[in-house]
Amino acid sequence: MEIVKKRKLLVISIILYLILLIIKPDIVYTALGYLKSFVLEMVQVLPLVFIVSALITEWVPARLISRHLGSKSGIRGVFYSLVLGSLSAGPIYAAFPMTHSLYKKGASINSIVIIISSWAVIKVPMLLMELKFLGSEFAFLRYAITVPAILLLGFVMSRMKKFGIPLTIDGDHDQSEPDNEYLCLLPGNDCKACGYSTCAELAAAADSPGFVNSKCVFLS
Amino acid sequence: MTVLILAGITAAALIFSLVKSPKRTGKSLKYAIRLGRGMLPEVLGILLLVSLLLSVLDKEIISATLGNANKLFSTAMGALIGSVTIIPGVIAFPLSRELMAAGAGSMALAAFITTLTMVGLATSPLEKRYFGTKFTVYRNSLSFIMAIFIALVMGVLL
Repeated sequence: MEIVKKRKLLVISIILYLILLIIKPDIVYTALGYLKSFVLEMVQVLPLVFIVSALITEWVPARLISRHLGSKSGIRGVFYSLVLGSLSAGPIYAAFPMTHSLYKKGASINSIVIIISSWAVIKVPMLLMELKFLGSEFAFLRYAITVPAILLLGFVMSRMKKFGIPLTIDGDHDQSEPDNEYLCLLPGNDCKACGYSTCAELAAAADSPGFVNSKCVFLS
Repeated sequence: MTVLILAGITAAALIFSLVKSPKRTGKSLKYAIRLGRGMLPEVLGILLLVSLLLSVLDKEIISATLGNANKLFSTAMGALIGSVTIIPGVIAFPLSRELMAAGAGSMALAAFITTLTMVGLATSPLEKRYFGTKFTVYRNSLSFIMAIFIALVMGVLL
């Protein structure tokens, strides 16, 4: 039952398809046609994204991410975020694992919003297609307006208060209480160098991995 | 084709990782599989539903709605339809071309394309899991407003 609960969406969809297969099979056949191209795209992109996300999590020092994509990274961070997103392939949901990994390492809200948005809407490979099908006037104008809009979006979101972004997704290390989620980023030696008497205190006071990175001497 | 850059980056990173430490590479790959296992069922569910939605939404209905004389209506509808669906770029652009030929306004199309890729009612369960409800709601609503704004500016300038 646990297994079914986690896959609620999938189960509902399959049941819906089975019902429709009996009542109105034509819809199902058309749907399967669309599904084929969706799945093809997904299969090409997702494995790559998961591997890159995992490698980022394993190898990239938090210090590096904080410096170039963190909240103090300024114009350079914005530029890197735009470029990262625009090199992408695949639908927006493919951006989630990778961006989440970057966030865990200290990328700012501004950066992740820009990465996700540009991943969705500015794709260098896609630009050629857009030029071909919709014309250069449409394509360039859309890009010219969309890029500043994305920057504005990132700015607005970065000004908002705590988002409560989960650091562990089901399957990561065991789900301890939410206030301890920053604890797993910390060395746990209570050295007091950050100004807090224990790592747990710093974790409790933190609102983003970027904050933790900037305070802890072992991470910055 | 579009995957080439991503594939290249992945390959380079993987080789680098293997050379530096096969052990950590193995650990990473195990983690990658775990990430995948978590995401895959949900993504499949989403794709199933979106495919169904697309097969129900007649192309004639879409082009009629997007080609409606009332620019405000067609733009709003373009944004709405785009928000509920996700379509691969490979299909979205030829589709937009057909819609344009069938009479869809460029304002409506701009709104459609922008929300299609940036706003995802369909992808929101996934986004919620990674980034929490507040982030998801704000990013999607603000992106929606942004899409309308982009469409309006394009309508004025084109």
